[in-house]
Amino acid sequence: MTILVPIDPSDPSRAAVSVGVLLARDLRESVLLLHVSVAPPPLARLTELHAIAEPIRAQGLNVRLRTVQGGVVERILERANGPDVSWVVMGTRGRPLVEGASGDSAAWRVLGASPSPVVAVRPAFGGGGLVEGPLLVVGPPEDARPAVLAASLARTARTRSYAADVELGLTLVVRARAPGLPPKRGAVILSFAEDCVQRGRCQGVIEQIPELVLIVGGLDPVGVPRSLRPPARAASGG
Amino acid sequence: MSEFTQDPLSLPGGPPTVWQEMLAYIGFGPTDAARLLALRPSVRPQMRQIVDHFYDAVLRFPGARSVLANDQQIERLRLSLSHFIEELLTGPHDNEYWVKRRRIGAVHVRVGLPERYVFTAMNLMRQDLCAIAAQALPEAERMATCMSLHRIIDLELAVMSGAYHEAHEERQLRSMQDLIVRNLPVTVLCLDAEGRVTSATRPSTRLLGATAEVGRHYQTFLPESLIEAADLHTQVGRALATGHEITIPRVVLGQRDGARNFRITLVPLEHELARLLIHIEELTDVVRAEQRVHQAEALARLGGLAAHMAHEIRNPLAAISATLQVITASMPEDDRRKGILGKVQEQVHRLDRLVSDLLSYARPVSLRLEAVLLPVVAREAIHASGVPAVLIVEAEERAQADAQQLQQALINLLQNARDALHGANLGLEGRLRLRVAPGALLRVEDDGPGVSAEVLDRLFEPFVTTKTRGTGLGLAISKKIVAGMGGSLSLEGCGPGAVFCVQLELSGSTGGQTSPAGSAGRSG
Repeated sequence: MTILVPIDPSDPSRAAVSVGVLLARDLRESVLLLHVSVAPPPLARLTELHAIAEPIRAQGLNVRLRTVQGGVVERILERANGPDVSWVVMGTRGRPLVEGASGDSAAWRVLGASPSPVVAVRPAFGGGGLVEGPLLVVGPPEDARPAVLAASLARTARTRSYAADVELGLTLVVRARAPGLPPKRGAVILSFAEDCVQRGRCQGVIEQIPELVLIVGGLDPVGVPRSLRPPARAASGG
Repeated sequence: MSEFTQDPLSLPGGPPTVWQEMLAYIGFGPTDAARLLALRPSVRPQMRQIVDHFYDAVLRFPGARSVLANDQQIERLRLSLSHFIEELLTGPHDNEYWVKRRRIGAVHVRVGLPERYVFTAMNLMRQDLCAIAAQALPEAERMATCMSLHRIIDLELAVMSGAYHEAHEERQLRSMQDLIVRNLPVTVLCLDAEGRVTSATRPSTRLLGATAEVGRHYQTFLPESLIEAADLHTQVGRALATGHEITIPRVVLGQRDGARNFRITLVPLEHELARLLIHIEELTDVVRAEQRVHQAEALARLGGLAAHMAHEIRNPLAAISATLQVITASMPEDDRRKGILGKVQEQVHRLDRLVSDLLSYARPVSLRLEAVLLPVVAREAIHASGVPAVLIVEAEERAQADAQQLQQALINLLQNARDALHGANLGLEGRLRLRVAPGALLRVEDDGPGVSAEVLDRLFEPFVTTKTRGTGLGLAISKKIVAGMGGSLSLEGCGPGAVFCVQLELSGSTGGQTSPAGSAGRSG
């Protein structure tokens, strides 16, 4: 199984790589770095991408690099549909998530359409994508993915996760830091629900808090990533 | 004009430069430079006419016109000529001057302006400048100034000639290099900084197919399957980042018998037009040969062991069989123990058959190849096998084969088919056929249950059987025999029923030859 990480040489992308590596280490999966561009990339870009991939490989993980051409979202969704993909981890600048808005819509579109669970990573202000402190999980109880993600990250980062329901969690985050949650060192994991109101609330949270924010979405109806389901029958491709 | 206050050849600082040698050779010195500078005020008002005169002459030639078809380009060149003349008159005529003049020559080469047009037009410039000197200067200075003009213009012509000559040599060298590279018997691609293939050897296009066009990005030049299998983007990034050669020792495309093996080497370069070399070697034949050697070695070891064991087992079997016969012969006819001993004897015979088959498989098969008439061999095989198969003759052909061994192989196949039908409780009548087809093809067809999926991949391997009493060596022996004749034995399709195809080589010749084919150590 594979953690799919769409990348470019940007800070949100690097933050996504950090989170993707944590997941891959915990789940013992490989990492696929996917670079999408309009035209085949120049060699200098491959050198940049190699600089991202090599430290991951140095940690003992299996990393492969792919470059494809076409629409960013279309290509990501195409690859996310592969039977070997357990998570998609991609960077976002965090604004906006609300439907119809312009700007960083790639992450929103993937969150809303991916057949595999997606984590959109909004880097901590000035802190990149490091998971160092406690994880606060905020989302509806019927969506297991944020908790699953938090558990995985907590194991690898050797930290703890705390669950809160939507109202309480958002209130805690917006009004004050939760006790024991050091500022700018923890992470907040939000569920990206279909409900516009929920998305609107998420948007507000994302814009206001400085911590690392992980937004979990994707079409997966069961709410359990493939890596935690029984293995499927032999699949082609990959 | 510091260095030209003295004789260039006597300048301190070591041996003279090329430019200094040229100045000294033609005798251009500080006095000439002063004369040109003094002429400048008279030339400036007439600069436009001089430039127009120059380029009007150049553009009269169709060859030059075709190169300079763009009006913007011509205007830029006119402006450049103004500066050229200005610098010619003002100097300083030092080494830097020479370097700049060489660059201008290189521009003409790059634009593609043939030197003959430029050189002849320079003569017009010479005439125009001398005419201005004759008009504007006192008589005492006219001749000397014209001589200075001749010297500097001749120096300019020498510099231009050198630029054209160097460019011509470089073009020839590139052309030769390109010719050599394209015809090297290896697959090598050269990529520029954009990742585009700027040159490729001919084997590249043969090896890689229709997408292998120079000018494409390597991502579309190379098959996607090769890029994927080699994780090529990662390796390219690594080669460029480290600056070291990277080798991907084994890249496999496809599976099993259709697998192709490659070795890819990436060599980073530092040239603006060549940033990376990709060398692709196909190793498929080498890998297959290695596999055959390994397989042959393994089979040789196995065959030797099997033969030894077989001999060791046969001796006690013979003793058991003989003893059983003696005991049975001494018993009364109605002794019930005779039946029991009969069953023991059957099992002893079965063991003996197994040992015989094993020895047949293990030892080299000596074949006497000759042109045999296939329908005859087929008919004899049906008769000898005792199997009620229908013979269908679609072609009366001869094939290169050993008649006796081929008959044995067909008997094995027919008996296999019979056993399959019996095993499925099916009658044999009308369900078995031996077809002699065109192209030296023999087909043993049955309407039985077919070959089960569990054994499909290993059907021709030794000791594979679905029969309760089979040794599992019949098909393996048949395949070995047919392969020794240069043919092949295969299962066609996957049900219902089964069709085993023996493909041989057609023969038009008579006479025989002996082929020591297919020992256990050399099958495959």
